[in-house]
Amino acid sequence: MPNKAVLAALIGSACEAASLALLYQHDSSAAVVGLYLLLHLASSALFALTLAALMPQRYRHPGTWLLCYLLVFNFFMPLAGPLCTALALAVAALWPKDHAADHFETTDSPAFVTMRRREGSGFRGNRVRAQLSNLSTPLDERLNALVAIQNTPTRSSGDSLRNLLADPADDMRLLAYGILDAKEKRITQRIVDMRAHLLSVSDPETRALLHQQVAELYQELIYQNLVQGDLLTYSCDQMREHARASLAIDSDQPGLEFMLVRLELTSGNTVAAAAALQNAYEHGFSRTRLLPYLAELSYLERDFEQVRRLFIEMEFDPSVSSTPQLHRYWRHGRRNYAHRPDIARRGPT
Amino acid sequence: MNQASPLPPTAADPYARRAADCDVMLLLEGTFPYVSGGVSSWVNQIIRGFPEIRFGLCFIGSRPQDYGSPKYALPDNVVHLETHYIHAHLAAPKVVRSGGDARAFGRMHELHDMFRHPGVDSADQHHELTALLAELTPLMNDGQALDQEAFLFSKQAWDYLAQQYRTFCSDPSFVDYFWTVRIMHLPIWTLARVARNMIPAKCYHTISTGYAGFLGSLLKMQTGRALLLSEHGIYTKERKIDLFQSEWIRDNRNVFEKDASQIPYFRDLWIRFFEALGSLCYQASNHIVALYETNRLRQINDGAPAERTRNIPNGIDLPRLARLRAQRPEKIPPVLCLLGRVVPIKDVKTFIRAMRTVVTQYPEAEAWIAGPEDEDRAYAAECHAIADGLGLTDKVKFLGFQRIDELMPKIGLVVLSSISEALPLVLLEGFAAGVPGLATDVGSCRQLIFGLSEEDQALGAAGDVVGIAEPQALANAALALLTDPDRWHAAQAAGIARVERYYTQDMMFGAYRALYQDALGQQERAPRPAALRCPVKH
Repeated sequence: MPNKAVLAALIGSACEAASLALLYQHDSSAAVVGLYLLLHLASSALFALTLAALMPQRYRHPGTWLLCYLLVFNFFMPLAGPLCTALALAVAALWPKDHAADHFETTDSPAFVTMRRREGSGFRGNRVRAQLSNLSTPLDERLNALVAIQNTPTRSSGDSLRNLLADPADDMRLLAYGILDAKEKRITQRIVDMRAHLLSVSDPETRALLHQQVAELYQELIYQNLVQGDLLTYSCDQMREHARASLAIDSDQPGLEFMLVRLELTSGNTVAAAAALQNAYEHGFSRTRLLPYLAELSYLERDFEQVRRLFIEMEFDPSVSSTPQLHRYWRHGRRNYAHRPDIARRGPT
Repeated sequence: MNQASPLPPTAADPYARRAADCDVMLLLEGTFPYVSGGVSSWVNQIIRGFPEIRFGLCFIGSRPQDYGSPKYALPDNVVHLETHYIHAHLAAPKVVRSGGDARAFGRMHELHDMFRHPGVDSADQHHELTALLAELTPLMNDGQALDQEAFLFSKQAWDYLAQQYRTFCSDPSFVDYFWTVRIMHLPIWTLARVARNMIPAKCYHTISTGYAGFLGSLLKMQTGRALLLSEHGIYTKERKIDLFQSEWIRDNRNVFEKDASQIPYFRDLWIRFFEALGSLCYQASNHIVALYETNRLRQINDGAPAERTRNIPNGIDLPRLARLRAQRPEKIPPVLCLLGRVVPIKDVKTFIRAMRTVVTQYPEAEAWIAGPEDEDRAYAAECHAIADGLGLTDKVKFLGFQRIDELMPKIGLVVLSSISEALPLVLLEGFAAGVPGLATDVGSCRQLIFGLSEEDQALGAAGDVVGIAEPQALANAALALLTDPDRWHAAQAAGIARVERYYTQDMMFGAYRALYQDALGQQERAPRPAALRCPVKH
């Protein structure tokens, strides 16, 4: 292969020399120009073959396109073309590509959690959790453990309770279901009552209040993790519908707009979330309290620079266990940002 | 077995039946004839299955206003019906001052000690316990040393209560302790009164433990007649679950006194009370029947003597239901049917949620919910709202109560999404009518669908089983059966074979006939014990 490349290079050089010689004859007849172009094309093709053969293995594919590229390069840049290509090859050989980046794998985007500890991991909680999950623990003790967590908010205990629905012990399954059902029922019963009340009321002020309360109850169902799948979608729709119905009667409800912000962010509706954020701010909702949600919106929009700016603007709250790490990450990820006074603000100002 | 002719029911009230005696007295707590459901249907089936036996019914309920009009017509062989409500008379009675009988209260203390510290040999211990109970029960008669007034108002009762509180109660509120103990024990005097005044019967048959079972054990003690116990669910377990979730039981411990792994004292007290009632009934029963093996083992675990336990599964009227197979269309109807009351325990919501997925993938599919909605109207309203909200108004049909003879030929799958079941008749009825079943993994559903013994399992799967509260799994299993004719027909064949071999009404009646003959025979063999005398001088 190297011999062929050398041969091609020699013939190519001869062709190129011959073509250059034709140029110095000061004859501009079509036949001479045509012969020059033919010889230059032949030399370009031979140089392309030579250079392609000298290419490192990883640059040789796709082969046809490489040859075409080198041919065109050599043809339109006589002499400079092959020289530049040879130079590029030397650079590639001396400073090879860093392949470390090829080993990265894509992962799911991180979800923000306000509570890092699992339920029951606090005071005596480990014992309760161990009793719940350990099937060899006597049934009575496991039942006692389940009773112990029945008054904790379902937002934190919901997963454990749902896991217990598949427990081999009938008593555990029944009690776990009963706890979940009772909590859901308590809220849904109030929703049914409120909706029935709505049908019998015509006063706009009362209707606005009732719509707001129904929306809040749906929000509670969602927040407490009591609805999943299709029912979660249904609850979100109902909450949105009632919140908007209330706002249509009385638009001056920044709290309700704020609730919509949270709903739309949960649902991933960035456009609706941005509109609700704007409305909440315009109706007097504190910008400081909106900042985390603005940051979340920017995050969903993949505007990470904006997330960083908003974090810099945000007050550090050491009482929320996850925020120190978040602040550290977003504020100091690129240090030069933290000291720039001219950061542009986005969103409601 | 017809000895005394019953008073004929009047045209105005067909439920006014009174007799001087009966063959079998059924002790029914919160069921037939005032409540509809699986247990009530079974009681109705048993009474009608033995037309030669004269049945008496003793219904025990909480308060009259908790029950509507009777849900079942009384069969002709029901000669006697009496109803009692244990929480009907909670108005403050007239206070009668008394010192109380120290010796009688001392014996009562011994009884409580026996409940609190069960011995190693349960048979011996029960013997002692029964002897003590037999001694104390006559003292509960009006005017005796342990009558209701002595329990409520005597100085001895107060002292005993205060001493028990100081020794055992881990809740700081004496007021709550005082009222909990009073309200808990009052039904015992009501039941003792019911037992005293009950018409003579040749044997007693209780359909649960609990209050009815305790009444049965009092009657057994009082008359020496045989007591049968048939449990569909496990009463003590169900009570326990209710009590764990109840919000009316107070826990007055402060944050430093609370131990997450220890249940509140009053809750525990109630649970132990029902465990004691259950244990007494198990020990007093001559025969203890469970519907399936898991429940039988549970009974043994809860104190039932193993040698007296047995399984008698539900059975269905095979010839009547088998006729329906001829009416089935050639194509599998795309109809999933939940046959049952619209109540939380049936988890109708999960069924409706599953239909969202089923309809998306199989648009012709429909869900029928065939059962009364009047037991829990709020829950039924929720189910309607969910169906509307999921855009299933045209696909989920609430049919109300339906006759299964008309329903079965039109459906492709019997679905049970229940949180708890024992041995559901609807699955067996579906099998007999040629409809496979899809059920949650509760009670004996797995046994009915996949078989119990090796021989039974060899018949094949009569459908599928999924976890509870898993709408997605329910939907996938339903689609797999309805859209695969080969699998569906194999399930149909397995269901028919299984029900014909193991779950016919004739088999069930045969087993109960033997039990009744034994119980009635004991009455003829054994002399009636001498009437209980009060052993305490007062």
